Amino acid sequence: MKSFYIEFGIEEVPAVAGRLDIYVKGDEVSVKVRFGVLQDPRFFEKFVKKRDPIEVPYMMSRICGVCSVVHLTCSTMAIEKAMGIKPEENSLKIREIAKGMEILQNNLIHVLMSIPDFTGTKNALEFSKKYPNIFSKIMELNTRTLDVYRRIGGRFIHTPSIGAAFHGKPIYRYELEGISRELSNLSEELHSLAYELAEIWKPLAPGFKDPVPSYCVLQADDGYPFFSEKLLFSDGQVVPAEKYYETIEELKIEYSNAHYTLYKGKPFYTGSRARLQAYSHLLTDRTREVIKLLKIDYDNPFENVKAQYAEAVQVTEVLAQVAAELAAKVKHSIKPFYLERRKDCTGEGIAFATAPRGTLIHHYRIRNGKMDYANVITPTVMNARHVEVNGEALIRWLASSGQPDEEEVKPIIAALLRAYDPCLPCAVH
Amino acid sequence: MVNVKLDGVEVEVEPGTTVLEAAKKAGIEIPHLCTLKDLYNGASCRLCLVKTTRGKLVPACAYQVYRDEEFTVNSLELKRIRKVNFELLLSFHKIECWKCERKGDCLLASLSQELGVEGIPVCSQCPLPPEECLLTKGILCLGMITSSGCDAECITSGGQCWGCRGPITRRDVLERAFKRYEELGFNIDDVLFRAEIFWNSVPAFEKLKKVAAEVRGGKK
Repeated sequence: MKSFYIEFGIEEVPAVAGRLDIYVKGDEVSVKVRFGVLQDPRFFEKFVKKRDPIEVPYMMSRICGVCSVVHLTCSTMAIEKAMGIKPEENSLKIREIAKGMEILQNNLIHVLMSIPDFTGTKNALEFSKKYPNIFSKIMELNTRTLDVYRRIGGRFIHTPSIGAAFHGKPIYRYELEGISRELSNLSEELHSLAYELAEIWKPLAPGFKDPVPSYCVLQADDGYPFFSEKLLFSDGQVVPAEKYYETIEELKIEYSNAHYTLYKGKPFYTGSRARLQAYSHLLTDRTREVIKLLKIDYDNPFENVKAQYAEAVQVTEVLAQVAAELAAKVKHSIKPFYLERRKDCTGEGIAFATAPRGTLIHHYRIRNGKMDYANVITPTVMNARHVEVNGEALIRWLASSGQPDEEEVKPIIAALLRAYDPCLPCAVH
Repeated sequence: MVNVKLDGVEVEVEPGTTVLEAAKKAGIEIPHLCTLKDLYNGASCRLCLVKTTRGKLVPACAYQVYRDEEFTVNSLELKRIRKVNFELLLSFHKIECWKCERKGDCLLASLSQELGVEGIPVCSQCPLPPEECLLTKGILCLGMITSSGCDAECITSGGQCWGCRGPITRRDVLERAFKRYEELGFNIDDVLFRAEIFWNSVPAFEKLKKVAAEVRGGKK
């Protein structure tokens, strides 16, 4: 290894929302990467205290405007558990479809924002000029995804029709059939677009391997999971909801406003790359084909973006089936309902959900009908330490084949962070 | 035929045509409330006032054109005048949109939105008929005390109003709204606690709290 010395900071990463500070310092002996989130803390967990539990999902959905649906649905599930309410099965399926649609939409947009790293273009604007057809196709798919969402939940951002003990929008059978058809079409079109993408998508840092390939996903008990009662780690350990806090260690870091998480003292990652590996037995033929086409290398953290695209195909197929099954079950329509609730209930509820960026945990305690405790662990918090470890390994890997300098390292570290699809406002909830 | 110029747009009309009709022909909208073609043309609402080149304000629904003329139809000054006139009209209107049959399709509500007049609650745009109001089902909705202008999107999507548009400031409407909350069995403290989510730092919220306290009996 040649001798080198680099020291710099990154304060802005395009396509990553929020304020951050990446500090990189390294030479041939030691390399240090610090991923600090400078976004101001927002104290969601504190200000929901003493509030009516019914209000909490709507407040928690405001953690993020991009992935509001997953916060809303995950919070709803946890609150319902804490209140001892069992919602109608059909409404659970509706929540699954709504959340799946959000994964699809978020993945597509993130692919569009990150693909310039893999195609030799500077940003999405330049990409749109160089590959106008692909750009407009992804935008069109995004618009159609949002249209489908509107039929399920109404407004996409901070959906008002989903809530604890409540479902507000009537959904007719013909709508479900239409949604299923549209999702099948989307799946087909995503599949055919993968051929075009495979031609232009070049790997970034080929040969680089993730030094800590341990991940955390939801345990799949019944098909591709959107919600679950258990977590699954890559070493095979299954963690039930009530044990999550003993298993996932949350740490306060002096240079970041967000917490970091460790599993058995080591960092772990979460997101599409983890999910495709964990649920390889659940993938549809079309998804497998897309994975082959894009030549996804699960050992490389940059490949998370490709995994997001492949997951979009998987999600459309799964949701098309869910919608078709629901349509077959529903006679005329899924009616809105408001369930009775005890105003002085006491209980605890934990829910795990598949968020676009990884695994999301919402945990609440209710005492005498008022919120007593709330804890939210977001995917960005789970990935934060993993980004640092991979950043350090990446610089060492670059040093093994040359003499890395700031100009070379800066964009690749930014691309690495972007590949994880972090959401900083979520991280400092 | 005579030529009428409205904000620079020329239109050719028959002599005796009103400015309002000429504007319609030119595709220009002038707000109006009282005109009922062939039935009533008393020019009493004064919302359709337009300005002549000599600076005179005339009602577009009644002013007939017999020669080539030019008018200012939409300007900040005219909007301000129309707003004042509309506020005067509205001050005689007992706003109880939650009970009104016209809710969801109300001309007053759409005009207030167009002219930027405050005091109309979200209920005016709510698509649910009064008998299906969420409040009657025991669901706390802040529509009665929240400013309209959002097309009641949350309620249309199947949810309830959370007050994100901000509180209404008209005292009489607030009084009636709080009385209605009490009639339907809601605790006003619960209503205010819910309203805090969006209005905690809104100055008008303090005024609203005072009205709520008075309705409750002046305890707080």
